[in-house]
Amino acid sequence: MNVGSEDVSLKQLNESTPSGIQKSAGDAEVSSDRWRNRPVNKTAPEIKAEVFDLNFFYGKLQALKNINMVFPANQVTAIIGPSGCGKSTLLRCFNRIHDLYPETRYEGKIILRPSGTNVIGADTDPLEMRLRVSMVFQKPNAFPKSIFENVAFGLRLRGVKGDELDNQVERSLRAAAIWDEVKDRLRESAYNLSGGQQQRLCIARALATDPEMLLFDEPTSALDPIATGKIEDLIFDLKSKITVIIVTHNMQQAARVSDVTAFMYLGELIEVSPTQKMFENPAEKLTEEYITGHFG
Amino acid sequence: MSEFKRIIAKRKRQDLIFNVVGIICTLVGILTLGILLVDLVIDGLPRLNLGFLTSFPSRFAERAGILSSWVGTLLIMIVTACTAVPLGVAAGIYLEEYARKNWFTNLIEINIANLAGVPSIIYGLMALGLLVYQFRLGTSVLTGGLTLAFLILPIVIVATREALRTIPQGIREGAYALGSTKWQVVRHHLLPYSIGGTMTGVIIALSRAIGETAPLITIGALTFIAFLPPPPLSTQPPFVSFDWLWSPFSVLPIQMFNWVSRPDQAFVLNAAGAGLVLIVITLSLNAAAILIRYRVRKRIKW
Repeated sequence: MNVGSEDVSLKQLNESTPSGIQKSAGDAEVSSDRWRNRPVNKTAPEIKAEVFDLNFFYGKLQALKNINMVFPANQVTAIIGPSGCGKSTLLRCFNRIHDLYPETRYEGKIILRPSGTNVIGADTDPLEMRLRVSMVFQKPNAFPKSIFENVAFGLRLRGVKGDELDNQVERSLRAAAIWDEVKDRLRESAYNLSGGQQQRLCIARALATDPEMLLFDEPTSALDPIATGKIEDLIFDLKSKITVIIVTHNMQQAARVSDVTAFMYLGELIEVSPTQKMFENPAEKLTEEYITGHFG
Repeated sequence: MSEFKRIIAKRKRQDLIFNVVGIICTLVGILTLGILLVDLVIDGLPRLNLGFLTSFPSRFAERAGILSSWVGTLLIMIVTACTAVPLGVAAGIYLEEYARKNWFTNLIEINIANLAGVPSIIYGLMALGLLVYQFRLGTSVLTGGLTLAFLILPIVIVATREALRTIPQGIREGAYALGSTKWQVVRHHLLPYSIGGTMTGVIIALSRAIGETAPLITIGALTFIAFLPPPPLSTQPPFVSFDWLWSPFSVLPIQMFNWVSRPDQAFVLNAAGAGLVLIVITLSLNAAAILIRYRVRKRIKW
């Protein structure tokens, strides 16, 4: 399998059958004109998650229709599309948060690599998936507890105590680029923080438990541009350590932070491409119309 | 232009009329309550002294006091709170967070709302048949407390559910997303965040129960009692005693009722004094509820 560039390899990742697409490092070359001069992975990306024939139902309403795609490891995948297209629904399959509500039903498979766990398998405990995959929500949802307790809660659930707890809380707050702002007020209520700080606190809370994947559900839609910029920088930095999926209705945001972009419409996956290609030369007419603002 | 002015003037007149009517209606309620209170204070205040609070009832109005009835009220309230709060809060949490929404839970919900409206004397009849005759608990502090607990149970359940409902769904999702079980979400998040609202509801319910007379008379509470229940603590082992649960009792409103029904005017003044004590307790409870609500709202604003 001869692969010309990372872009092409990604395209193939999403078009070929998911088995047998792991490539050796030498197969991929570097494309020179990446979006925003970011460092480029010299190897073809590994796969973190594969989605096979995913259908999802709210009662009788089918919200996701036959989704097939892969999510590359240690990259940011953005999911865009008009309201009600199913992008959040797809994201929320990954930590089984749908299971909190009655009459929701999954069909198909979401396989996490390298463990091979089927996220939506009937014998997979939703609790296990939530311990392994973290989520940051649209509206900052810090708990009305102290800043420290907000980050510590997920760790306590896993039995972390004492100095280890303190260390991991600090490490997470640093990773979420909020440590310097809160280090002297860890015992204060999280509600004394601004909206943007609360959202970064939620990111720290999500990172604290060392998740395999981090899901963002329109994380900046309730924030001002400056807070949004900080979160975007953070997401960009996070991908060296973790696989990120971000749902956003802000196309500029998808262009700024993501490596791969998926476009969804009416519950169907229309196109998955490397972000630059998606925004410069989309393969599908529908994608182009959406990106250029002709509908949506 | 003049056409507009005419219409506007007419509407402003209507506005003014409703304003005046509204003020009158409000004043009718507030003034009546105020006059009653002032009358109670004028009649009752002279009777309020240490002797009145530390004396048993007596044939002589000036020697009679409310010791046994305020102690009875206190003990009954302890039993009521200790049974109604855990039961009501647990039921509220179950219905709001655990129960699947189906026709059966809908039926339970409707019936709980209805139970809150059942006349209190019906609870008295139920307690007489069930607790006094069936379970042979007698006319005791335990029976009285349980009777009032049944009475306020629906209020506590509804208050708990309302308090839980004010917690945004995003907080629940956030807690579940970290891998919490349902119980961990309830224990570490929902309970602490809703405790203010629940406590407010519980206190309001208790302040309603404290004035209840009918159900306690129905189960046979005494109107004249010249001794106190056995003390809960003693100097000899085992130091703690629950014998007071089985003691006969009277409560403040029953004592009042007894005094008011006597022909001697002096006893009516005693009733006013007891009424004053009752109102002070009730208003303090309500003030505590408002204080708790205020402090919680300051700490947690969603």
